[in-house]
Amino acid sequence: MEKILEVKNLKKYFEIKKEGLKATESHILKAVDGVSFDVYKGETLGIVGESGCGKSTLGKTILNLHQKTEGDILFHGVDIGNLSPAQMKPYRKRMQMIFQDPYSSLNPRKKISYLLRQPMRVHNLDKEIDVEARIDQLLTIVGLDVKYKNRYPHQFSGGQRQRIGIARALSLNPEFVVCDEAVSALDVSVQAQILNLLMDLQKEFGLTYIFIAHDLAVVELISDRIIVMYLGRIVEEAPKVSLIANRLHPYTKALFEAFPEMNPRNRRVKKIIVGDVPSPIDPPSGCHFHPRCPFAKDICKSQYPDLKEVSPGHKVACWLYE
Amino acid sequence: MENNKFLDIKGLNVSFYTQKGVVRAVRDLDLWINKGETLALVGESGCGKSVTASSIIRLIPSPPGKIESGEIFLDGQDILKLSEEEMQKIRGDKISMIFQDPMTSLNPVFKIGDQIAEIFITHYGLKKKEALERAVEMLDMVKIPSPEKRVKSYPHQLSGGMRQRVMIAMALASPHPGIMIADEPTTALDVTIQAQILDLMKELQEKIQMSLLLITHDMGVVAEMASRVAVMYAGRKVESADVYSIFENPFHPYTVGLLNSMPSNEKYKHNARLEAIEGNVPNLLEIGDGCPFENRCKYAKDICRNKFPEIKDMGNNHHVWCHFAGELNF
Repeated sequence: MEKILEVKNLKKYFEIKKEGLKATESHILKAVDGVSFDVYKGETLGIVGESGCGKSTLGKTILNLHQKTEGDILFHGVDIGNLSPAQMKPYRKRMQMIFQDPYSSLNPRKKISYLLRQPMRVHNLDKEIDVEARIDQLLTIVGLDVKYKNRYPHQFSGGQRQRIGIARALSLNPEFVVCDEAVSALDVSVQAQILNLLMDLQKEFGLTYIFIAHDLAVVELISDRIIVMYLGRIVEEAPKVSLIANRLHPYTKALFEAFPEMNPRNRRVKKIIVGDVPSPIDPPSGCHFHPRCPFAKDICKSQYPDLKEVSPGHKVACWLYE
Repeated sequence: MENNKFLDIKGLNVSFYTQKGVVRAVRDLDLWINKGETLALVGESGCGKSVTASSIIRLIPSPPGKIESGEIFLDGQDILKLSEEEMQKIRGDKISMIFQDPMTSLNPVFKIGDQIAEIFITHYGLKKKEALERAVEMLDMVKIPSPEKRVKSYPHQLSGGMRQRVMIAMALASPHPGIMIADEPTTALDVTIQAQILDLMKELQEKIQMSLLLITHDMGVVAEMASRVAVMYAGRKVESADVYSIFENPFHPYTVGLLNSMPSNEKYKHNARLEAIEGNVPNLLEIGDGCPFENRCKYAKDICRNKFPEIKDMGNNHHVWCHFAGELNF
């Protein structure tokens, strides 16, 4: 299979300044801390994890919306992490993003037609193609009536706005789309419609998705492969089927076990992990999960385990599997 | 059976008078909860579930809101007939409420210990020092580690899960905790923390035999927690039954659609495409007297447009408001 994206040892650190009365303290927040993975053409790679695990930062960093701190982001072999904005422009056309909040991601003062025209104008497509026809086509693709194109965002429901966001992302014919919590803000019945739409569009246009979400059921439904993150690092990576059959990392197990099942007769025989997700500013030493892990050994407290392949395509970073 | 109902809502109608017209947020709602039972009120945005909750504690902002008609019996007493002063005594005593975002319900400038202690001072007449000791006990009960230290924390120093534990502690600190209304209590929390909070709520509820009205949009949480379920859509209750019947034998097309919309539904193990409900929730201003689900329902006929159905009893306390309940094959 053709790799479209190769991420190698990617790091994104933020400097956090706390201004106190006496002195200004400075901390380094390691939002993404040495992450490597590949994305293959036409697949959906799901990224799951709880708040603060770095999944959204990762999504933005691989699109070069955040300047990386270290590591390589190879898009078709070209390291886009070091490109200037002008050099980056032709790549922007090929990689797009769909955002979580359909309210704040659309300019409330612009009509829908304007919002959809703008990307094509920025990339000078308006000289090559019939932009108005393309807008109609985009609206039809995402299931909106063409007659709505002169309306403003506030005249649409959340689900319809998300359709507009999707139409905008597709306006440049991208091959790679990062969906960052793209359905999290929607009601369940609307969420189902949008998930179907995203899956249909992928088939129709051969799109490659990175699908970032905290909802495990959504990720399991839509993904071909899944990455589980905890405090800036990948703890497990596997094809969906393999992950469902065999969850290896204690965090992955705990996470999926905590997810409520749809069957009232299967009420959880509890194995709930204790404690909160620690602060990413000062994560625990060694394996970041060790304070909450029921299987922690001495080595877990001092050394971070490498991500190792234990069966084809199934990788885990845990001392239990060394 | 009858006298076992701790909360009994009859014929509740709540409207909001807006510039654009009258929004009938809750229509002809009947709802009851037995002592010690958990009722899940399920539905999507705008279905009226939170308005129902606010009506029970009489915190509908008025204007624009108004409870038009109905009765809400709490422990046998119609609370809609009480004066604001009498109601004040019931809030935080027999009824308590926890919300989705605990940060907005806790006062950011007071230590959490003081906020819990206030309940003991107001409702029990304790002195500050004793009240603080009780606050430590309460934090211990909701399993907050090192409670003696934590009483001195401010809300922003706690994680989301910890804050929700504090809210639960406050709800349980009342002298006669009879019913807790939990409005999307775990929606803002991470899944491992959600599991902890749901577990804590179950455990405490069993311990003090309290009724729980759980408002949620998440059918997974419903399956985990509820003994009975009421499904609401656009201001109306459309189906109610015990939790097993709702999941295994739903009769209303909306309930079926809602269950099918959940990606965690067993049926999507192999085939990925979801059976979604088409269309959008109608504008509450534009709903007439018909069934509000009519425009999205693939089984809708003329009668659905004109008339909201009568209650249909499917046996075993399973009630459905659909003209064709029992006649449809899903």
